[in-house]
Amino acid sequence: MTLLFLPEMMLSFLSVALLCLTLLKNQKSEKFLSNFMLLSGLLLMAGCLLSLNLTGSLFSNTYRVDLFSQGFKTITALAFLLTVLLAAEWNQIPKNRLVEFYLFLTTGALGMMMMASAVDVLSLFVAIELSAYSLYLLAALKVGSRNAESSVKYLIFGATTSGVALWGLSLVVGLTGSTSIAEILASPAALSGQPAFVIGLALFSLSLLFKLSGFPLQFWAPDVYESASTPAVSFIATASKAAAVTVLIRLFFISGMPAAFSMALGVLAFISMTLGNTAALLQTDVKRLLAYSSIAQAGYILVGLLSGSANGMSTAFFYAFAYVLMNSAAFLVLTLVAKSAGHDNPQISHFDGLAERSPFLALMLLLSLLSLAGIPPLIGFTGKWILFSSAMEKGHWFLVLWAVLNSVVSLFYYLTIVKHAYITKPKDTSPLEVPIRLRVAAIGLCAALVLMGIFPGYFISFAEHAVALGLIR
Amino acid sequence: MSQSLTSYLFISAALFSIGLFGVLTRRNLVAMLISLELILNSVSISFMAFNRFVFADKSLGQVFVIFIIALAAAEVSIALSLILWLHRKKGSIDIEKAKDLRG
Amino acid sequence: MNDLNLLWIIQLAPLVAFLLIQLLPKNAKRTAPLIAMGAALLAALSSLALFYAHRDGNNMPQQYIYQWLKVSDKSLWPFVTIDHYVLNIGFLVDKLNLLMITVVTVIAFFVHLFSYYYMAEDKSRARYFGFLSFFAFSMTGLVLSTNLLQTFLFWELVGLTSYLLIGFWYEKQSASTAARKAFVINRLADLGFYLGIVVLFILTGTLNFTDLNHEFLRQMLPASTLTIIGILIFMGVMGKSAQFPFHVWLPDAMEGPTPVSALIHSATMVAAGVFLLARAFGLFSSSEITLLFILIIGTLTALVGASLATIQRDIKKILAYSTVSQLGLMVMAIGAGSAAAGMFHLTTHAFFKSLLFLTSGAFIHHFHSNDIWEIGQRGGKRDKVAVAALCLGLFSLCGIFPFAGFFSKDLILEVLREHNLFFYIAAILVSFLTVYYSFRMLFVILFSKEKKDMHAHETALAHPHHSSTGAIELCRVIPLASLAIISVVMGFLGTGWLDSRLLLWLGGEETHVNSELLITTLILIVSGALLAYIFFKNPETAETRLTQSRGPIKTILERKFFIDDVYEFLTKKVGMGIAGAFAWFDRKIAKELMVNGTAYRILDLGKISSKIQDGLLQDYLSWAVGVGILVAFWLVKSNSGIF
Repeated sequence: MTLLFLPEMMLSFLSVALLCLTLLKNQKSEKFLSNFMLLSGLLLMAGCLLSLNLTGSLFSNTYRVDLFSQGFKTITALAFLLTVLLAAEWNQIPKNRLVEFYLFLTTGALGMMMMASAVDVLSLFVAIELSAYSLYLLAALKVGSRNAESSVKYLIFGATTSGVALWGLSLVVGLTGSTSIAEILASPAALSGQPAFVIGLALFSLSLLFKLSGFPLQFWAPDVYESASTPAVSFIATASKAAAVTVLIRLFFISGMPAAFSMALGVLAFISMTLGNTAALLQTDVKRLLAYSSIAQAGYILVGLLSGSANGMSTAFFYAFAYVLMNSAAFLVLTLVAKSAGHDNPQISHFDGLAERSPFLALMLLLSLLSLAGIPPLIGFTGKWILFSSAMEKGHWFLVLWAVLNSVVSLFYYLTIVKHAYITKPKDTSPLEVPIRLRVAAIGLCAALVLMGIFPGYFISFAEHAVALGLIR
Repeated sequence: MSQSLTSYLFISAALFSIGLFGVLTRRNLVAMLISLELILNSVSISFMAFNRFVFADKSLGQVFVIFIIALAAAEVSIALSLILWLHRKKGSIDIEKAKDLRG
Repeated sequence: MNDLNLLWIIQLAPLVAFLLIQLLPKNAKRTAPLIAMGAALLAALSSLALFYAHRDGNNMPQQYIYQWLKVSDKSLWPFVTIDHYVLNIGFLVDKLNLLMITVVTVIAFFVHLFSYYYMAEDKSRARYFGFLSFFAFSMTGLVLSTNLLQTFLFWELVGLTSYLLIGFWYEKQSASTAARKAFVINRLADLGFYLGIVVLFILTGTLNFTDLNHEFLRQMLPASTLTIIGILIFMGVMGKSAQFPFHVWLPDAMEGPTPVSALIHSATMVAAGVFLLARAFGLFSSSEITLLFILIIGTLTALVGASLATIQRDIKKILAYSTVSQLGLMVMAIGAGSAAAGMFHLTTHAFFKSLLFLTSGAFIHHFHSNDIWEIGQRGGKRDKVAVAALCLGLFSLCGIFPFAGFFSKDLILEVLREHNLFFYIAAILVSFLTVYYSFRMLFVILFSKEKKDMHAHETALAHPHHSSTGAIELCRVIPLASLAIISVVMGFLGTGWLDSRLLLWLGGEETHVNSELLITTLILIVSGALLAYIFFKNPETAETRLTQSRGPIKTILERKFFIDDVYEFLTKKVGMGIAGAFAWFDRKIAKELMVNGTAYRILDLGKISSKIQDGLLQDYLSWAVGVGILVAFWLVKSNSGIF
């Protein structure tokens, strides 16, 4: 029984250990800490893989372990590991707060993992809040106080959203009389489409849209991405999106999606994509640019989700995974460029001549950005392709067309960075060294981007299988 | 006033609206926090109302409310520490003064 | 050795030679001429063997066909009743082909031989012989093809080779310009050809020559369609055989090496058009109007060519315009309804024109000048072999008995006289002019006084700098001699002396000697020669008189009837004008308005999106909550059961 809970337990123990570490008088060296975290990350990864095929339910049916949730937990563990690797390299975190940083990272990961497994409204809400608070603090921890403003905005925005969502949740729980998601969605109130119920559910979904950074809840993303420390942004950008997608799939997959919901999601997706892509064209700060791009990517994911079919859900799941890989790769390059520039907000001009300084990094940048843009044969293209195909199957041709046009627009700003990397002459011609750990991770990521793009079959069928198994009844 | 579900829900909704209005319009960050608390409390009222009139298992609503109170407390502690930090930087807790991050 | 093997040898031997030459390493390039000559010899011998095997003319035509494409889609062409479309590729052997292939391969061999002498000092010899072999391959393909599409394929290849060979000395600006001009004009004409093929194929489902006889065609299609198809395909002929107004490329094509002019631009390639006319005669003859059109064009060509030849100074240009004119005559014959007469003249013309070109090549190579006055002044009359060959060729060209040209030209005149008096008179005029310019050339070369100045040491017959080895000298003499002999003999094959063998072979009727015609031609020859003698018995004074005289006729002739000016106007002003208009459209509308415009609009959209992020938290919250509530209410309003 305990094995079912293995990843969460490991994270809990880790957070307790880190909590104890914060109490220590003499600071442990940064190196020790990063090695410790790396080890824990690897162990976590191992734990997740071990418990991949387990199924069961815990805590009197409020917590469900199946391939779907375990698959997602593996993705989160991967994001965790990569964040830890990046943090070891360059973080703008005050030395005496480094342990807290890792602590909040751990609790955030824990919260997200719990989100994936929660099938009861209460546990879901608690998990969402756990991960949210951890992320607020994660975003706040940075040298200097320039990001006080963005953290406050992040928090207030997120808190208000969860307050509103909670009120909606109260309506839902009240009208159906139970807190189990399966029962809620099968209740007479749901089936008859009682107005209060609909309002409640819609308001609750807002909190998930918040984590996904889709319109209209995307306003925090540019500020947070710009101001938070790079490893924190990497984690926020990748893992919380995947978590949101996971919960959305659990909620909406039960028995298809009615046309009204599809329509609403469609409009939101439309505006997300347009807003994200067009605003990104004007950015010079690369982290802010990536924030807007993540808003657009949220739009694409919504396009997949709104088709409501098994295909749509599984392709959204696959795309979330692909997104973790692509984004982590981009942030890896970003971290190293920031480190060499000594400046946590690299502008596009800081990427000048990257190809001369480090051909390997430039290649990685190229692969990750082209993947984000959706160029074959990379994984981003495959993901987008299957996402849009499943939407087309349900007849949403206009949305797919708009999404494709948006991909074209996005290609511009991605390629601008690539152009600076390859063609513009660098002002600083010192070569960029890639440390060995990061190099290993980088090679793994690049290989995944390319190979999973060309041979996605296994992973797509894994996603389909997982989603089928994740259906809660 | 008759003790019915609707009246409690009405109160809850009223409080919710007041809280939401406060968050949207108050310039003082602490006042925004207070309004946020108001929202969360309205939810508690709503849950307790449902607990009394609808739920079969009477512990469900109470458990929820306890959780909400705990979460609210955690949230406020984080929020206050961040607001303090902002105050140290900006010298004010007027939300309209914090608009450096734009575009 | 059966027919098919022989056919493959004839077709592929030159191609193999071409490939071998391309693949030769640098130091083995000296063997290139030998490889090419070997292949040419092989091809010539094979076609002679083939001819001999079928000399009795029985069991022909024979086809060896391989199916290439088959389309059986009835829905494709709803307005015709063809079941399926089949495209073949293969060899056709019949009397016309056999004759043509023999002519082509034999002349090609002689030209290869002469080229060994002519190009002995050129450093790009290997490239030259490679191209020459490739040309032989393309030409045999054209002659042996079974259907119009295959012909078109090789037609284009022949055009390509012509381009490569005209522009062989590409360092010379005039050569590459001439090559380009030839190619472009041919391509333009081939547009009509291709359209004709397409229309014919769609409407009848077949392009095989064996099917294109006029009963079949008249049955399938109305006369107007047949006329259009005929004229379109004739456009290709007009390009390839230098008919008016597409004749302008042929004189410029003289920039190429002289053996090339001999082979391609007198005997074989330009004759391909006439060959096609005879080959697909059933198609052309199915409509009276087509034939009339052909006749008119032929007449114009003949007149233009002959008149322009009378004022040329360059020996090759004279021969070029002469070729244009003779081709016009051939086309006239076909237009008048006698494919046999046209082909007969083609055969004799092939031999004596190539002889004339090779002779001019001998003069040019020896005396280092193309100008007939300069050749004369440097002692042209001393090169006995060349002069003899020249005389033979010219007499044949003028149609003097008993040379070959006499018989074939007379036949044409006869055919025309029976057809229509107007065209007959035109042909008589052409003959007169032919005699005039031929004798002009002869007299200028023969009667010019030798000037022992500038190239004094080179006026001797044997050049010291190019000690001609025996082999090279042979290569100069043998082709000239052989072609001369053939030119003489060939003519007799068409007459009663040898039972009109050739004519019957071609399907024509036996000739009968027409005394009226004989007297007319005799008068023509005598008067033309006399006129030439009067003007040119003293070439120096003639030269000075010519350069001084001015007059409308002279201007028109010198400006080549202003045809080149028309072309220039059309390409420069009209063509460039249209291109300019499109360029304007592309620049202003497509680029500025559509492409850049879209980009700027998207950027504007970006500015709007960026404005939403205005830094005020409460604005964000308002958006969020506002839209959220809107969505919620909209969902309620659409009032659907959720699940």
